[in-house]
Amino acid sequence: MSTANAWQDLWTSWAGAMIDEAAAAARRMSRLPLLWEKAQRVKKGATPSEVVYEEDRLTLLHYKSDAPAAYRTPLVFVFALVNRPYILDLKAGKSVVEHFVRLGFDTYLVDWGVPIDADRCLTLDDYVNGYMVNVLNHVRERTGSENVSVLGYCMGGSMSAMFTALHQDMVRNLILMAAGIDFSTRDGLLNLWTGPDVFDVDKFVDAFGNVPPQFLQNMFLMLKPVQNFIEKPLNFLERLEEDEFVEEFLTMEGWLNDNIPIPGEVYREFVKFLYQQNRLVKGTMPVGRHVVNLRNITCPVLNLMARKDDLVPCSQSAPFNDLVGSADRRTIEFPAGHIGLAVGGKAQRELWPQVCDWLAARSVPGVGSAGNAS
Amino acid sequence: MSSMNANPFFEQAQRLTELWAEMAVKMAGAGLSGDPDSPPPDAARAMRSAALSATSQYADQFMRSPQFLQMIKQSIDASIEFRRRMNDFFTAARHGTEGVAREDVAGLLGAMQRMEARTLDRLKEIAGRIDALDRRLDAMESASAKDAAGRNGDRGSAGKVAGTGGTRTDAAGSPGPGPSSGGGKA
Repeated sequence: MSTANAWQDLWTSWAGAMIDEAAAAARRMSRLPLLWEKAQRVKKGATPSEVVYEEDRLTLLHYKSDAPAAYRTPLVFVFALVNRPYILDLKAGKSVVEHFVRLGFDTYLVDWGVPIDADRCLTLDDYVNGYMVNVLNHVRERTGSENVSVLGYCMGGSMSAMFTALHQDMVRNLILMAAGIDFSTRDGLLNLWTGPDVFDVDKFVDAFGNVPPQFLQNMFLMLKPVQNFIEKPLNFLERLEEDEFVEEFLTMEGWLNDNIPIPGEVYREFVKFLYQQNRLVKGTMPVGRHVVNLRNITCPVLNLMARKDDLVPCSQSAPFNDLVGSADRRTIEFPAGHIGLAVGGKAQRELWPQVCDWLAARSVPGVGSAGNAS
Repeated sequence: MSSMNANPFFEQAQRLTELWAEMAVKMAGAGLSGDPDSPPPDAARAMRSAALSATSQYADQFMRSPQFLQMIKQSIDASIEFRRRMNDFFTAARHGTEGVAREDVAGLLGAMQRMEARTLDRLKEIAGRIDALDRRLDAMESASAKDAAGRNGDRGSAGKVAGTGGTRTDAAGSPGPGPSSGGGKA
């Protein structure tokens, strides 16, 4: 009798739970039609900015602040050529740019723009020795500062490292964020998938020209197929009633799917010289007529790495500090993913204040600073 | 047995069996380790999470395997071939109607880039030659100024020569305020 009662109780609780779950699922589904309107309200970029320089598709954003600059040394963010750069200023409370602007850094961000077909011939030389030189010269002229701090993220970090090695006199401090330097590691799937026996990059670029954004997006999604194709949608559907979660999800997904093509020749050089031949660490990386020698970097460097990064594993970034000629070198390995390093809650609370302090100690105080002797 | 082990289908079947076995173990573990008083949906979610975690690990292993790399290679090569044929078709179609194809524009861009590179190289060469000429000119002016100062010094045997005399030049090689008079004052 007691066994029968126990089974009956179990059945009753299961039935009740199933009915509750079904009702909850119906409530969640009823919110689906509102998603479109919410997605339309998602903004790109949080901190007020103005365009101060334009060249071809490139625009240079200057972030505005009411307070006078506490530091005379300006800071320029250099993002990758993949996806849009507003991930660094995604929304209030999840903005790397906001940290620096609030602390009084004169902050700029390079928006590479969306390449057109005619840009398929642009090479790393055009970006590193062309656009980046022009941007930094403009910033130096505009601010009166002899040199500039540079923060490069992902592929932008690799390019910033090459730029600094070739134009050290223009860079006061260099910060790399999840930047690929040593591509000999086999920790990341991309290193395997771009191997010369798997991926003929020459034929690919010759056929496609600019790399289609869908190709890149699918490759990134395939790095974590279960999480991206199954867990993420399930998690989203189960949390549809949480407005804050939905807003953050839509903001993040908006950026993740805001893909742009990569100029073909840049992609060819990146895959061939870095992923396949690993030339940067060997000191034979050609950028136009120049060869990059990381030992020429002598400014203070800060190397930020994401411990759970699947796109740029720590083993790809870690060797950087041993290859430069700088005396002032520091590494921070943070428990976050590739994107979480920028927008994750923990990174916003713990990592970016540290980075700001590091940069503040190495920047020239400005007029608004108490430490200014003038 | 060795021939069975070499059979790729056997290997794949074995891998699949291992995957399902591990998933079943993890799901059972998640189900058993849950709170018996927790609602059934939570227990189901825990089992689902365990299953997906196991699947994710195996997916990662599979995507590093030679079989998957071969699949990727074939897929990309097929895409490249398809795109190449489409390019050829549209190029031929546009040329057939005396239109301009993308390849023509790409060729033009390439030619312009090469022209730009040659022009910039030439300008750099010319700038280098101008710099060299500047340096030679400065050296000649400096030498002639020293000669002039020497001759002035010989003529004024009783007088003192103030400073170095002659024409003072600055570091950039341009002449100073003007040639000095016989006394050698700058």
